[in-house]
Amino acid sequence: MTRSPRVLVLAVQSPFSHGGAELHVRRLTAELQRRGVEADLIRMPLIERERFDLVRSALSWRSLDLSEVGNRRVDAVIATRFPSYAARHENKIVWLIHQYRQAYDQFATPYSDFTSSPEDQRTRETIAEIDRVGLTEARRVFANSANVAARLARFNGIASEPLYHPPPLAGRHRCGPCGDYALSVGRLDAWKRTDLMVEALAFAPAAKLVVVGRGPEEGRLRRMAEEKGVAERIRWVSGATEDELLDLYAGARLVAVAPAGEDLGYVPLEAFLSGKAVLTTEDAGGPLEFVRHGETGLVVPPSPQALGEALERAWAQVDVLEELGRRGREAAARLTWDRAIDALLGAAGLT
Amino acid sequence: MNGDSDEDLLRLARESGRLLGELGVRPGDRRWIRLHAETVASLEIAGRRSNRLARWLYRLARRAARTAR
Repeated sequence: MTRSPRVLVLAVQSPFSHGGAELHVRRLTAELQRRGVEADLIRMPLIERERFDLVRSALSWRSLDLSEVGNRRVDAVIATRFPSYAARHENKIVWLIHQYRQAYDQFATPYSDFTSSPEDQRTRETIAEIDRVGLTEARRVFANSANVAARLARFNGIASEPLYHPPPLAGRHRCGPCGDYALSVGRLDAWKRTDLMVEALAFAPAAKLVVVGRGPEEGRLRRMAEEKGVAERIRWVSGATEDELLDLYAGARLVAVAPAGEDLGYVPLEAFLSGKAVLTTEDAGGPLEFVRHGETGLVVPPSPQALGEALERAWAQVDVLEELGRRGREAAARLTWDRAIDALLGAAGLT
Repeated sequence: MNGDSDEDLLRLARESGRLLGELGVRPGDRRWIRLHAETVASLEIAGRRSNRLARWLYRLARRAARTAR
């Protein structure tokens, strides 16, 4: 091929939201362009007013024939999230950020609003069928973590290869001296379980916490902090700029993250790139692929008491935390975009 | 119903019905198929919308979904 390869990145947009997935697809497109690929980002919203909207959205993607755009052949597409991989292309690569988790691992947990009603059952079956069709016809399926790959194998019987990448602000993180606060970063959704950290403070009288993020849980978390008598030791940061976030990472004593089955989770990687140890839970999912107990952080049972006691013990051991953070930094620094892009383009036959 | 726009609608109903079937929608999913048929029918020129057309599109989408499986 004498011309630059043309690749479309297919992404699902969450309007008015700028989370990790949004940053990821933009960065992926930019990294492709940096390597001489003529890449562009195609986004469609996933609107979820009712169950049929999920099918409707998959149909919208399926209706797209992306083999050619404006008389220009598209050499490959890289689909990322449900249901973008329903799109048709003879050279489709999937780099799965996550499936529609409410229909799978989150089903029958407080984090899913799917019930056992006939329509919800049919929706779950249809989502599984959309996944089967969209994923099995792909030339290659990558997952953004071993955790996501394991879910895909468990629920859909589809094999995929974990393919890691650096977090969005990689290259800009800096280390600073251990400060006097633990840092919690992430959207305040129930399944992120920031409440565990708020409650944990009751078991760690020396610790302070900075919570960065906003979301539907914020009011409940603030009330909980008052009820537990820990409100004075928490600082809430609703809208940190990127520079402010980098400063908060650099100045933290450690970083705490306690989600229920996170896909990958940028927070531990961002913590490591800032030279900080990570406190997490045994059921955190993706973070456990990098956070090793006693090596790069602390891994404890998912309870306020276990987290609080670990926090209290760690608080006085700054030297230990710095060593854990240093090792974490070495591990996170091994993730590069070069490797990820090489794998994607290689799978598409474009190298 | 007449003209090229009707032909386009019928083609859209056929194709999208087939795709719905491919994505796992079944003939028994009556409500979803009706919603889809209504979406297709909503593309008809304003003022010409008829229940008859919606019913016809419903049958077409349903048949297409059945055929795809």
